[in-house]
Amino acid sequence: MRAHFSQRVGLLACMFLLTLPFLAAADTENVRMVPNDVEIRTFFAGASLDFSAHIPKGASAILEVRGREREEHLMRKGRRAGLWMNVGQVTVQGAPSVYLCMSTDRDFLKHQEQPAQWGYASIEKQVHFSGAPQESSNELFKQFLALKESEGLYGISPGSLKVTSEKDGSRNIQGTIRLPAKIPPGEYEVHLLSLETDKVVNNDTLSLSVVTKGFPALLEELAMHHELSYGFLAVIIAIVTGFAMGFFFKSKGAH
Amino acid sequence: MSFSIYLPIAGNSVNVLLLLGLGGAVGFLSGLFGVGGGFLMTPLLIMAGIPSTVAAASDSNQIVAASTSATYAHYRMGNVDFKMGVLLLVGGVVGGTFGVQLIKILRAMGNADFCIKVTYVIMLGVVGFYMFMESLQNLRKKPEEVVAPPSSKPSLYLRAIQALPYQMRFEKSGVTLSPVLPLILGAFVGVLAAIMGVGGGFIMVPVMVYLLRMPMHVVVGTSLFQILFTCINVTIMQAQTNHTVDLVLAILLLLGSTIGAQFGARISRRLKGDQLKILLASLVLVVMIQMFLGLVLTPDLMLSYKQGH
Repeated sequence: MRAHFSQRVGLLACMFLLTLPFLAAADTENVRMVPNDVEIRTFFAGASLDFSAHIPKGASAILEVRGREREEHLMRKGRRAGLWMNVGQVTVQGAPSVYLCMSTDRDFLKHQEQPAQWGYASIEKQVHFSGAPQESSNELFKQFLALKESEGLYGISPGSLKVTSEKDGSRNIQGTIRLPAKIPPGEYEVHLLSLETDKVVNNDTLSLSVVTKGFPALLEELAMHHELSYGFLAVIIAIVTGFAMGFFFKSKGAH
Repeated sequence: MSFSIYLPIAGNSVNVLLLLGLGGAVGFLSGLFGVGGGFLMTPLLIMAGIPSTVAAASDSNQIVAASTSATYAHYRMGNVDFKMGVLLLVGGVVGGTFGVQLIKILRAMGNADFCIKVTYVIMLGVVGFYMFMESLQNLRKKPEEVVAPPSSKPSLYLRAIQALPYQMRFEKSGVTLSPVLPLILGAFVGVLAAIMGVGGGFIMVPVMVYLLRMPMHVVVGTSLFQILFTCINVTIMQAQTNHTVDLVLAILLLLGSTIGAQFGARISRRLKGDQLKILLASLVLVVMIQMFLGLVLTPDLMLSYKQGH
């Protein structure tokens, strides 16, 4: 009898665990994200993610979109004989591919307890640089941020999450994060941190997929897996277009 | 309505009209001067947000189209010396192969970037300045002064090239010289082109004018013929080895450049050789100044992606 009951509990637990990913896909109990997936198609020029969420009354919120951590190889500039050029390589480990963050309070992204849990300070503590003995990690991190911000892959927007209403012991907040056109395809995590007196009281996580579809996906497949055919195709298209233009202008009385 | 299009290999979205306009402008210069335009287009594409390796590789593909269009236009006008072009091309392939090995050695020594950038500025400066002054001098002379009376004593250089073996006549160019000379000069240009990562047109044109003594109008067409095959090779190699040819980017650029090249070829016929030379020299000097400023002014970003991507 006891073994039979244990088996049923175990089966129920397994069923619950299996459904968890599906519950986190588009929204949680507190957070809703639209759209829940982003497709990169022919005329993709970035995408807007609209968020709405419930947080405890009186709490503040921080919303983050984080990409996977990956190793990056960068070139650093320096002066040689008075001329600026690439003088060495820097390897960056532990930095997310994308980091976009917004908050309800304007000052919230600046002031937080250590160790930092949000904002650029949270990234700085996990990033490791190698290959640049002259520069300090702090200086390199600033340069790294400048590079990422110039591409729109990193960004901080304090005060962009708006409180829309308060009732029944909770606050409703809304905001929009703009994903840049340069966002790499892949899996991303969206975190909503609810804070009271600078302490995290709730952490909701959503998954976001950015995938290439249609014509861009076809070209990527050709370029990465059928390289020689792709190269010849590119040349043939170029030559045919060149001749076609020549014939067109000839027929229009060019010569 | 959005005019942005996503470039799958570049991983970025760019305005379609911007790419068509860039292609048209550089194609026009290609048809006008007989240059591939890579030394102009690649920096402009980088400024538009395209990674540098994708810009260079896709631009090679665009140059194939513009060069085909312009070579065909010049061929119809009788401006392509195929015999000379093949010899320069063979030399260029050999030189380019050697140049790639040289770059490998320089990279291992850690001095590749310094050598490449300084070579660029020096070559652009020397070529641009010499062409500019020489063309200006000729344009200022009265017509009767330009045609110099035949000298009883040929120059040292002329004697040297006439002493080379296997002298042959190049009918289209109207010159008689040994095939050894275009092979050697083609190889020299190939080495420089490999170091600087360009098709070599802006070096090849002055070489053909001043060292091979070819008339400017034939130089333009023949240079385009040589660039066409160089860029076919580069496009295929880049697609196969580095996966950096963005077909969408290349197609948009070539749609603009093939049209621009036709107009450039037509206008080149209406200009005198010295006028063409002085315009090209001015363009080369502007690019040289822009590159030099890039070397001496403090950059906005101290870090960049390795391989440009």
